[in-house]
Amino acid sequence: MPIIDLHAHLGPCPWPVPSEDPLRLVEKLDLVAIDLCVVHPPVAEGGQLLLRNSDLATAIEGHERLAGCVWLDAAYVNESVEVIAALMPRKNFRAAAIELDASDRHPMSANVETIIKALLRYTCPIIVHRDERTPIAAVVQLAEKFAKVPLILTEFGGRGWRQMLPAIERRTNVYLSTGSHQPQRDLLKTVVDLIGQNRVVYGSNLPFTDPLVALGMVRDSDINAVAKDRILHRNARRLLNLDLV
Amino acid sequence: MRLTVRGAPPILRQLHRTETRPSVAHDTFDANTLFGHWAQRAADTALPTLLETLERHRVKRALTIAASGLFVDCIQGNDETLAACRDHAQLEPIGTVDPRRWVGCREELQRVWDAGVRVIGFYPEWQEWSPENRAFQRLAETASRLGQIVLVEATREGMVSRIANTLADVPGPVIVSGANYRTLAEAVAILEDREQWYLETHALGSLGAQEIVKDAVGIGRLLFGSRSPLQYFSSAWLPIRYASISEDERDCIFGGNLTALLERAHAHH
Repeated sequence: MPIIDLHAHLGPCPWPVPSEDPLRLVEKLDLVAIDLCVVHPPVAEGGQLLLRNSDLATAIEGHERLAGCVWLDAAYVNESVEVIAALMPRKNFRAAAIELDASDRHPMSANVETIIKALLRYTCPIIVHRDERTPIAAVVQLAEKFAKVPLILTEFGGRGWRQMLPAIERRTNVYLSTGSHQPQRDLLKTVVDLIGQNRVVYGSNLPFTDPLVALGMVRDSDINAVAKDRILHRNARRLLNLDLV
Repeated sequence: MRLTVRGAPPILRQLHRTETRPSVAHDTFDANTLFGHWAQRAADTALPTLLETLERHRVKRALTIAASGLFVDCIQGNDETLAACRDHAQLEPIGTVDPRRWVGCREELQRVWDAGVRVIGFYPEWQEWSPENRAFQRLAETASRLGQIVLVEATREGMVSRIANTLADVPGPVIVSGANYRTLAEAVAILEDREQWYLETHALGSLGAQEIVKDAVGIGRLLFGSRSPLQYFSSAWLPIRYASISEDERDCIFGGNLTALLERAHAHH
């Protein structure tokens, strides 16, 4: 069974984790048998956007199992659009990531809309990072407005995640990624029971979380083998438009 | 784009067999389990669920605490913990006293010491009290002087440093539970200063975390914990099972270090 990791990081960060070395990352992918890992820079705000995304493009060059994900910032919309134009036409860039919050990066802001419109031609999924203050209702509104764009939320298991589920239940273009610092034991089954097995994808949050944390969740959870298969690769293959060889 | 599928290595094969072949953790001594009604949210943390989880993963021994001791009444919780440990040989007690209560807590430390409790847990984040709490300091010092190992929950940035300041005069071992990639540097800096401080691993899931601790203070300072059944056992177990360390070092984390620590606590008695 293949495994596709839709949520990982590559690039400098302030914490003591090996986040900059693509070889170290690939070594871990080998161990866990992750066939494709979609990576974006862990930290890239403001003036760093062009630099960090460009560094990422260089770092993944020649690594066929690493796919790029541009990191965008709604507070810096011109730079974000520039990054999209420069990197998304490349074959090894398959997704975009954006942080949404309650102020400058509000989901319903004109800047977020401009960025998503710039991404539309690439038909890629958008990985959404949000903090506790980001209004989930506004994220759902955004998903309604761009109903053909898959939005993948990453904060699985964070504070208040249960309260979020009813809001996204019927928004079929909203997905959840498994990476979590708090792998609560009933988490995966609860999510699959409520939103279905087609809208959960495996995301490790590498290197801040060992990919075996999320694999352990999949392994231990009381969901059937078909659901595990979908979470580990089938849903991601559909989103990334990938063929198996 | 085409995806070239690689052959399945051991972990993936285990994943396929998940329904019938759980992870085998024969010699694992889990430093962090709990049972009983979980007050913060609906969760199946009943004692039978804990026992089933330990059985499923073939965990040999586990330190455990009744959740009622955290959220309701420490004395009632200690009674429940002791009863569960009497009934189930694989369980060993984590006692607790609550600094918010203070009254009668020093006597409770003596009572549970006499009943064989060698680890005392403190939970400032779950119980929402300050790590500078003077009652916490006095109770931790009392427990340590009795010979008990102090276990403290600390997940947020700055917490472990504040706890270290408060517990500067605690003479015996202290286990910090909840260190994660955001607090790892802080925790390691404390461990470098305090030879008798240890890290429990359930939240220590970042890439290379075990190696960082090993290089800084030695593998002897890591104790495996899963926080079962609140969290997935394999999420805590697999990262250590496949960490880039030797088998001997893995054995130390999975139980050798905790066994030695408890033997010293019992010898103190």
